[in-house]
Amino acid sequence: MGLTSRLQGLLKRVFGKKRNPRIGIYGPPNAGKTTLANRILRDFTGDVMGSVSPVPHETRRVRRREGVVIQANGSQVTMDIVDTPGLATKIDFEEFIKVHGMASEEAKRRAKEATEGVVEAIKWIDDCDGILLVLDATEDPYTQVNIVTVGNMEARGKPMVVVANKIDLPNAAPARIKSAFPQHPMVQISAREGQNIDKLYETLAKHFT
Amino acid sequence: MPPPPPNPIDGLQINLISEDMLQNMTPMEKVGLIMENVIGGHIVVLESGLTPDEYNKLMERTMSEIRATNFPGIEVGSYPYKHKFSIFRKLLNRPLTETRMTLIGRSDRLKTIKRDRDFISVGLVSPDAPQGKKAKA
Repeated sequence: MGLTSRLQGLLKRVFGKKRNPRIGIYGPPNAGKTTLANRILRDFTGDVMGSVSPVPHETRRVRRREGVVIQANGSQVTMDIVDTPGLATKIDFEEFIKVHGMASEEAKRRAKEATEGVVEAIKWIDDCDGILLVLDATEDPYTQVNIVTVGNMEARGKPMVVVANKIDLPNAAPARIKSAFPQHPMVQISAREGQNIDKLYETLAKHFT
Repeated sequence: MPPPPPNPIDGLQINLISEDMLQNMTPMEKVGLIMENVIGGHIVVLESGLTPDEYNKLMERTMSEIRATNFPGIEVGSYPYKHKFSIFRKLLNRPLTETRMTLIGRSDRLKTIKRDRDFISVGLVSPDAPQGKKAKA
């Protein structure tokens, strides 16, 4: 970013209309991003963001909900929530057929839409003011997608909160996620069960205002 | 940029690309070179890796190849970025992350066995390996 565009950005921030911070929910497929988005919306708007499924790439389009008022510990913050498709470097339609029993045409369509979703999610990175990186606490955190998502936010100097999800599962190891990304705040939750969710809301209010 | 040389022996070909060569290339040239190698079945080792923005472009191109062909995707092995944040680097528009050595291959040829902060173990799958062996690798 050049000096001119930086100056323009500064002037816009000083004199422009202030908008809500836009928080992207990012992470690999099946980490529980939409489950978390649904939990947040259900808690504060009574609505949901989208459908969830054990089959990867259920969310294949970016979805946005504006003006969600999150209340935590006596304070409140209004933000736009952006739920994104899972980031991946490989999408194999045969896996949908072999592992998840899908018909061939349906599997191919899902894979095609998933590739479009990954590209859309990447393009949204610059439009988000901060992100929640949602990781499955039962999985290895040192994946390339996770490393690059963290790198993207650090390169842009944008805030990030790491969410270690699925701590209700017996083999969850949130400490491993913390040791992988110690430079960022981490909250361990179960989005499905609502476990520790108030702690996440407090962290959101603290880091994204 | 010359195309990858033909492989005179049976087995996988690994092409190592130096930091000096990468420094003289645009992001799209880097992505083009990587994809040409990877689609051809080769493994690429980048001495200095890719920035997050370059990696985003590589992911976009990969998704495009998956959509258009039977390409299965890529497997990438790299250490976490070194974060170099300082107000001076930001003001001077210098990169806030330091890229590191990176290994890239087709996802049906390169399989991650174990990854940690400072250790990466990968398996190379021969193109003529039996299907069962490929799945287990």
